Amino acid sequence: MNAIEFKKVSKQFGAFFANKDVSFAVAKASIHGLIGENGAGKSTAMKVLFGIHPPDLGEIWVNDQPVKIHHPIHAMKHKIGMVHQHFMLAENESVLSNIILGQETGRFFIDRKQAVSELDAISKKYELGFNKWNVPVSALSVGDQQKVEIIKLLYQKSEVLILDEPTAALTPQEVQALFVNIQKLKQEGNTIILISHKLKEVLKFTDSVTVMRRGEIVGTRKTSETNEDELAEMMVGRKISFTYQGERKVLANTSNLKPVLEVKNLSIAASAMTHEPLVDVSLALKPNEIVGIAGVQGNGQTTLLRFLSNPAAFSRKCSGEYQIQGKSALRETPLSLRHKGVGLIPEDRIAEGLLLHQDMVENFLLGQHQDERYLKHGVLQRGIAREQVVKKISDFDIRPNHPGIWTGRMSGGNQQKLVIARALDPNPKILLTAHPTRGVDVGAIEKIHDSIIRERNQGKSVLLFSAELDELIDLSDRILVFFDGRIQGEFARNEFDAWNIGRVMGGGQK
Amino acid sequence: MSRWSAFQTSLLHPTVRSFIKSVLGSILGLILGLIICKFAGESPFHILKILYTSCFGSGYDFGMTLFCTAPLILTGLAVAIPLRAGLFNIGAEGQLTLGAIAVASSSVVWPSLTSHPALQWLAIPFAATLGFLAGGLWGAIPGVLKAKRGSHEVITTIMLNFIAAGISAYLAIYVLKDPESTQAQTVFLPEFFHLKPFTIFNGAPMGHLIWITLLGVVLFHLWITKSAWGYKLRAVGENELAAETYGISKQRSWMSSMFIGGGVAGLVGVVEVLGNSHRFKMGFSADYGFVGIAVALLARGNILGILPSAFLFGMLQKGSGSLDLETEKITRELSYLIQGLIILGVASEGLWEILSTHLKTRVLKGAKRKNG
Amino acid sequence: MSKIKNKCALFGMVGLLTSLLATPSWAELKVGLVLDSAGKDDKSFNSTAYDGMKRAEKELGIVAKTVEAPDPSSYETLQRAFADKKFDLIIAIGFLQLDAVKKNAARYPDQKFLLIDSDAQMPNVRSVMFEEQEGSYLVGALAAMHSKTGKIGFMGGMDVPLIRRFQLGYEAGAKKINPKIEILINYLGVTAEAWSNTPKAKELALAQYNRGADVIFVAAGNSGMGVFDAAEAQNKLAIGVDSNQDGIKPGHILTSMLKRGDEVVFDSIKLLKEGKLTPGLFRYGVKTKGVDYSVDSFNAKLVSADDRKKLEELRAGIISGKISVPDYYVIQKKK
Repeated sequence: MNAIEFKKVSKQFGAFFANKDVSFAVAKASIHGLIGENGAGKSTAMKVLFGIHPPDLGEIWVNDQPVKIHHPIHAMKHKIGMVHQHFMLAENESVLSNIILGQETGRFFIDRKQAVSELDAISKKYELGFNKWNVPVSALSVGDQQKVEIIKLLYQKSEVLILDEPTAALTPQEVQALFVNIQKLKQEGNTIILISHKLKEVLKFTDSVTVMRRGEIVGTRKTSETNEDELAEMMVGRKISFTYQGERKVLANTSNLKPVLEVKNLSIAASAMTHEPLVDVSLALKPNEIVGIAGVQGNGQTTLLRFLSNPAAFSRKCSGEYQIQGKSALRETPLSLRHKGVGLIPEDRIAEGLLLHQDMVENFLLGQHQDERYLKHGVLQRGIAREQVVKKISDFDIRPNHPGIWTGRMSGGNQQKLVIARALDPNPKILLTAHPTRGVDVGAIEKIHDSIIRERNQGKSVLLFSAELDELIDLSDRILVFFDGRIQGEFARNEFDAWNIGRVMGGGQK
Repeated sequence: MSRWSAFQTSLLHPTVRSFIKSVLGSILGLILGLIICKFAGESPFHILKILYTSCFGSGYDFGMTLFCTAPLILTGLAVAIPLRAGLFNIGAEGQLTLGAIAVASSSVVWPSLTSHPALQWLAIPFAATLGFLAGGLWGAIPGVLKAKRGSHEVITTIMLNFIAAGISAYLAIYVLKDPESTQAQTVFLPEFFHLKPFTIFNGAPMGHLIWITLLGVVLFHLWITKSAWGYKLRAVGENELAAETYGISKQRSWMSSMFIGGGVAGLVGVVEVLGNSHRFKMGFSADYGFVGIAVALLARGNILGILPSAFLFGMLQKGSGSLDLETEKITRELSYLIQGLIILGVASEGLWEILSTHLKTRVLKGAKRKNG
Repeated sequence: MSKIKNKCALFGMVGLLTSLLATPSWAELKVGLVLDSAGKDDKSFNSTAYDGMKRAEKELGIVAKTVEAPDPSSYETLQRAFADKKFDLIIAIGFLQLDAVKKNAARYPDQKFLLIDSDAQMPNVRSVMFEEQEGSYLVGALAAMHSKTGKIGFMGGMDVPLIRRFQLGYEAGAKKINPKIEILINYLGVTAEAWSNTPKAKELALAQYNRGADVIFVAAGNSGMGVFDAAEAQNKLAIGVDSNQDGIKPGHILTSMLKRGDEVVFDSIKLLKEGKLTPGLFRYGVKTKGVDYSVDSFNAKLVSADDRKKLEELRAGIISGKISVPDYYVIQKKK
């Protein structure tokens, strides 16, 4: 019996087919992987299933019956639930309030006691080991927030759970725990659809897997009968490699070179501007070097990046020294730093990096609006910028390949490529890079990693913030691990080991 | 199919989309208004004819329509410019009130203008500058409060409207009062402050100012869309965090957009005081500052879109008296109703989404049936 | 092409027909009334003018058309529209229309205008002004006669010279009766909202009553309703304005300072019909009863025969010139 079946579903945005004749089936009580590059249409397919975008054509069958799902309420009626990549939780409300939100309809009074006992039963049944019902969501770790989302679906009696990139923000230890839970859900008869771009996870934890490319289904495989290479080839349409294969060029005598960026004894107290304090942080970045910054989210990395990219904003709130090319940079602004050769790829491309209701050209100009190539006599040279964007589109393989498209309509990976292309456009000597491949597909990851290594090989310096340990291990020359606002440990390339680094991230000693 | 997709791609363009939404919204509002007229016992065609005649019936009518439109263009800009920087300026009414009293005070502020005929060509530019500065500084206050203290601009602009009314009333009654009059109005400005109306408008107080206003709109459009300054405003309005991350000061954008917006509102004083009554009269404004919000919303913040939008509202304003006069049952309230319905029609985003999805599905199904 | 021509001709015919039908017979007098932006439901000056117009329509058999100006820029347009339609008389209500009347009187020298509440000084305009201070003087005296506490109140709408004129007359009248009387004064605001801010009027009235005032004269358009509410709640007295408001809260409204816009409108139309309407400035004071205090069944118990006798003595004094009532307009001009 199939829990879910897509029959020739199409969804069009403008002239662009986000889904075209999509057909696949998900067996009941199984874990089904849905993989594909960003923009391949997997998120769209799930949004169609969840009723956010009703399909233009085709049918969806639930439990072997055709159904109409035109609104998330319909989806919930058919016991379909979804955990979005960005959690949909009210941060200041308690876990209980978040879970029963939307379930109180038709009842005038909410019986909180009964809700708690139901939730305890769910937690016990699925062995989730969670009972912090009255704690505000903001006080929970990312892993626990995810549990809350899953419990919420179970409380709504969902039988089909869609998980969109569930491991994006988790430590290796948390990932392991999540998949134990998912196995338990399956044993209890639930069906799980796992959207992911991490082939290793998909291979390890799913029963079958469907691959999408450019809005269409490439094929469905039994997980036990396929392998990483085959899936990758299906996704990208060509053979790709998983660890960086290229040359790591070492310039002569880097040890004697002076650091281009140096931070000495930097402390920043928690304030309205930042919730993550920094305590006595010192680091140096030399040419021809990638320094990775590891750590569980919320341990000071965000503050460090904000400080490094806009020290003037912290002028009266920090102590310590910050130098670029040997000169104090405490008063620099983002624009003057750019002038001094610092490029920035911000943490959250949507919140900090893009104007979603503007086209690629306008976005390309952000931060470059005073670059003399693009600004003449106070007038922005859109034509020149547009030519550059066209060039970047082909250099970075950005899709859709039309500079006039709104960035809000682009997939995450392509948005990220645009942000990187913009950061590299003035040819910076120092690159501050945060989560360059977050939510980006395999094919694009390779290209992004390529471009970062290329910068390094040209003698540039890169400070790489990432939540993906594999990525840090792949790319960095050194890794600094942050915990509680301090540098908890430093690893040289020959000491790299995921479990060790993971332990230091959790506050342990090296 | 290719033709259809080309059509769709052009529809995708945000400007085209919002233009279509605005036009459809206006038409929908008008149709609803006319249906209500029908229920009230007036033929919709008769109503349309009255509106048409009231606007284009004679040189005078057209001139008066333009006279109603010009302040709305200015207040529309006063709302739209800060809107591009993400601020909602409810204070255009106060800004234009102070602008108008500043314009009316110009002969008192610079008395030597009257005694030196050689300087008199400066009178109008001087008065206009004064109006712009008064409105601009008044607009800048909420901008500064927002930038420095985080005060919400909707609250502060509303409150400043009352303070502006108080200041202007005080000035009009006690400081600049016309000694010849028993009313709350300022002294009559000398002849060389007066803007000459076109004779073809046959008495309607509108002259070359309309060209200047049109030119101003085009310049503001270029400023917003082409200049680095305008780019900064738009970036802040769209995503202030991203703008800050890339070195654009949201504070500066807020303050400057409110100053310029307020200044443009202050120029309503030029239209009214220099062009029409040649003095400040309390209560001269037909709620221009508030209708300006509707004008900017209908234009969806697009600067050029303000022109047709303001003209539509100007036409309705001019027509509202005629509807009362020419019909038995329809009063001025109807045109307020139509204005409201138009805003509703434009604002009902969800409706357009449903319509376009419906249309698309039907067309796709149609195409499929043909192909297969 | 010919089709279009036909259509044009058809439209022309329709237009001609409708215009013929719309024209009433030539024998009737046509009078147009332009109310100011407060509109005919202001329960005040515009309302009284509208009442006069209705009466004239009924009793004198004229063709009457009333329009409410939607905004200040439309006074001129609406007057012009009446002039273009060859109305026999155009009545403009309110001082706000002064400039528009002046302009149009010059543009249409053969057109007759009646302007109420201001002086146009044009050869084809009959201007009517009311001596509000005289009526206010009388109600001020009456208020003082009825005050047991020696405190009375005045509540103005917008702080404009016209309302100051009410206030000055009221104060003088009260002091004539009781030179030591204390008068509490409040204005409601500086925007047009002051004419319709009932809650604020009520709050301020309650405050005045609590401070000891027992009679309040309110000259604030629709806001007056708030004062009447307060009078009822506190079991005190209030004085209405413009139209007869005695019946709104019977027993709590001592009297109303009448400004007989209805009489003026009706009389002028009557004069027009008789061919006796002349231009120039006409002042309506207590002598012609253009301004007056009201006595009717609602307040007959409050205003005793004694009171009325005293008031009539004061009226006679004003008419004869023995009593000079201060006029804010004059005082202000002297400044």
